[in-house]
Formats: sequence, structure tokens, C-alpha cells
Amino acid sequence: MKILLIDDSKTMRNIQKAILTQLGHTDVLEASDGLDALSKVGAYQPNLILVDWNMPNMDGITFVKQYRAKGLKTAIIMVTTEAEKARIVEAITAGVNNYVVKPFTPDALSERIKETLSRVAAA
Amino acid sequence: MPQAQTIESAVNPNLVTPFINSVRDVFDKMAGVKITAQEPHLKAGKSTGHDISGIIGFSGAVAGSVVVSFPKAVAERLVEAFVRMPLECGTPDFVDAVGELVNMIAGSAKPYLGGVASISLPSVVIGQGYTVASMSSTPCVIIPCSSPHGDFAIELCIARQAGA
Amino acid sequence: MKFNPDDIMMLAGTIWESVLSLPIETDEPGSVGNHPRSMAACIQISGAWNGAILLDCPVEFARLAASVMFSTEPANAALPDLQDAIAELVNMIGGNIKGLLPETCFLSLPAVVEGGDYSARVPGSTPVGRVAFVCQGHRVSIVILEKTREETAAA
Repeated sequence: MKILLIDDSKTMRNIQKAILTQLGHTDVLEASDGLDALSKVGAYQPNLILVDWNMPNMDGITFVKQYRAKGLKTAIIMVTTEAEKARIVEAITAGVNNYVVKPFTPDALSERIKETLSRVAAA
Repeated sequence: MPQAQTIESAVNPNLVTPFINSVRDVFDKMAGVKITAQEPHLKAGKSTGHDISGIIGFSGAVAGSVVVSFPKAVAERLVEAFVRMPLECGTPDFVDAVGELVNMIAGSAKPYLGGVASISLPSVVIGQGYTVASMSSTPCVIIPCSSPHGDFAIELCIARQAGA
Repeated sequence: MKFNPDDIMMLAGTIWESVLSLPIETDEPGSVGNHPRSMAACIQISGAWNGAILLDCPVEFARLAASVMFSTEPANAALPDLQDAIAELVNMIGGNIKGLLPETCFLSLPAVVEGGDYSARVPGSTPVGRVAFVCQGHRVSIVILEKTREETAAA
């Protein structure tokens, strides 16, 4: 499975990549912001996208809106420190399939990934 | 004769508790490290000295700064637990990890401070024998923290803004 | 967003003249924290633009600035006076830079570092403006940093 990991923090990308590797997902492509990610999705065609909210150049919510505007259906999980309910609703409305609040345990991220993929598969 | 300022009279506990919860939560979830917060106390003077300090600013409904300061050995062990690999102190990856830890502690506390606040980019100071002063008229509170890897401290110099 | 060094110099010159009544002369930019004992003041801007401003100077310059600002003899200026003086200068620089940025941006309170062996960094940022100047024989530098991240590998 191909996973696109979008976070402006190299530390956070490394942490999430380590968790994904533990889960057996080794085909992971990194992007440092929404613009960087949009330039990569065409060639990479991910099966799952993990995206942070607050990033320079293009934030996560703008990325999600632009990605969905292309008619692309890939499952997206927002992984962010934004914990307010209004933010979660905004993300879901924009087209996010699931939401993980930082800080997260490896188990919590793993569960959300499994849950999201099974939901998308069933749809 | 003026009365000595007590922590109860000087600091809103609603601004302290979210940081105690967030530092525990961040290290527990992200690094698998249990943190024990000791009794907060008012900081004497303006400066704090440590080897590694992460500084982040708050603006909006809550304004001020938060400094998380570690001795070098403690920072190295906590960063290793956080990123799941050893990082050499002072390298860009190490600085980035310290910045991310501070960002996450502040970001996790932010929703519980009341009102809409924003947090700045973190800055990280690395060295020896330096002091960090938060230039706030607000009394600063020190939250001493203990971990299996050693002690560190959070310094809060934040206050709710009038009308926010 | 790039900042023209001439504009930053003009801004610094105006602040130094109005607050300290001291002229400044352009010097070559150097790194932060390269004085025997130095002070660095950092102020952050968040909102429509995200970044930070770092002011670096020798402790002796901070002493001079404090003596002018608080009308005292340099020898009588204590560390909190030095910290206040440098914080006030970086606050003014930050306020003026904020005026050049898109709406709405917020300025943090300054933090001031003092010591002989330290480096102050803002991870995830790159310099977008940098000047160095000399004031009464003391070398001062101002660096404007914008939040950006390193490029990741291409697909």
C-alpha cells in the first residue's frame, strides 16, 4: 500500500514513518506541505494520505479541498494538534475520512488507519 | 509592608493545569515516558538557566511565553524516546525534535486556556551557562517535572488578555 | 517573502536614532551568538505570516542601550535592565516588520538569552532578511526568519 505522509515537521514525519514501518507499510512518500503534496500525488497515486493541518505554503485543509476538487477519492486522515470540535467538523466537511489529534499513541494511529481503510473499502 | 506574592494570588490555575496535563500526555503518548509534575511555584527573578531550552510564544486571548528547559543528558534521552532513535545534541534533527516537543506541549494545552490563542514558531537555545528571560510583566510559574530520564522544567509566563 | 537589507537597515537606523540617539554603520552579516558574551532577543510573528526576528549583540552593547534608555551609568545597569533594553529594541523592530506584513499578524512577547556559549535557532525556518551593523564599536545583527521547511524527495 502506498502512503503519502504530509507534515512540515521532519520529526513528525520520521515518527509517523517509524510507526507505519512497524505496521508493515514501507512504501511511504513524504511531502513537507500541501503544495509539495499536490505536486506528488499525480505520479505517486497513494492509497492513503496522512496530512497535518498547520503547514507553511499550503495548509492541510486547503490541500484536502483542492485534492477532493479533482474528484480523487483516496482515504485521507488528518493528523494534527487542532483538537477543537469545530476544526474536526471543518476537516470532515472538507473531505477528510478520519481525524487523529496529536499527541497520539502508535496504537491510536494504527487503529485509525485500519478503521479508515476498512470504511473506505466497504463504501 | 507589602505582602509577598503567593502563587494563588498571582497565577490563574486554569492556565497552569492545561500545561501539566499536556506535558504528561505528550510524553506518555508520543514517547512512552511517564512524567510527574511537582508543585508549581513562582519564579524568582526573570532568568532560567539550563542546557537546552525550547521557547514558544502565545498571542491572542492568552499572551506570553512558555519555556521548556532540559539538562543536556535529559533532553537527549527524552528526544530519543520521542523520535525512536538517538540524535546527537545540536544537530538540525535534534533541534527540530526539541522544537516539535515544545510545539506539541503548547498546542495540546492551547484549547484549554480559554478563548482563541495562537502559538508562534518555537525557538531552541542550546549551550551552557546561559540564561533565558521571558519579557513578560506577568509573574512566571515554574512547573518542575520528573521523568525516568531525569528532571526538567516548564516555565509559564502567560496571562489572559483583557477583553479576550 | 524576502526583506531588502536596505529597508531593514533604514528601519534599524530610525529606531536606534529615535530610542538611543546613536548612529549605526553597515557591517557584514555574521552568525548569531559569536561574541565573547552576548545577548540574543527573539520575537515571533504568527498569523498570516509566520516567522521570527532575532537580534544579536554583545552584552556591552546591551549595557550601553540600557544606560541610555534608563538614564543610568552603564556600570550601574543590572542584567534585568539589559534584558529589558534589548527586548524593547527587538519589540520595536518586530512591530515595524509586522506593519509590512499581510493582515492579520500577532507579535509574541520577546525572550532574551544571555550567555557566553549558546546558539539560538528557530527550527523549520530560513533567513529571509539579514543585516549587521556597528553601533559605538559594538557589532549588532538582525535576522528575519520565515517558517519554511526543507524539501522532501521528489516522487
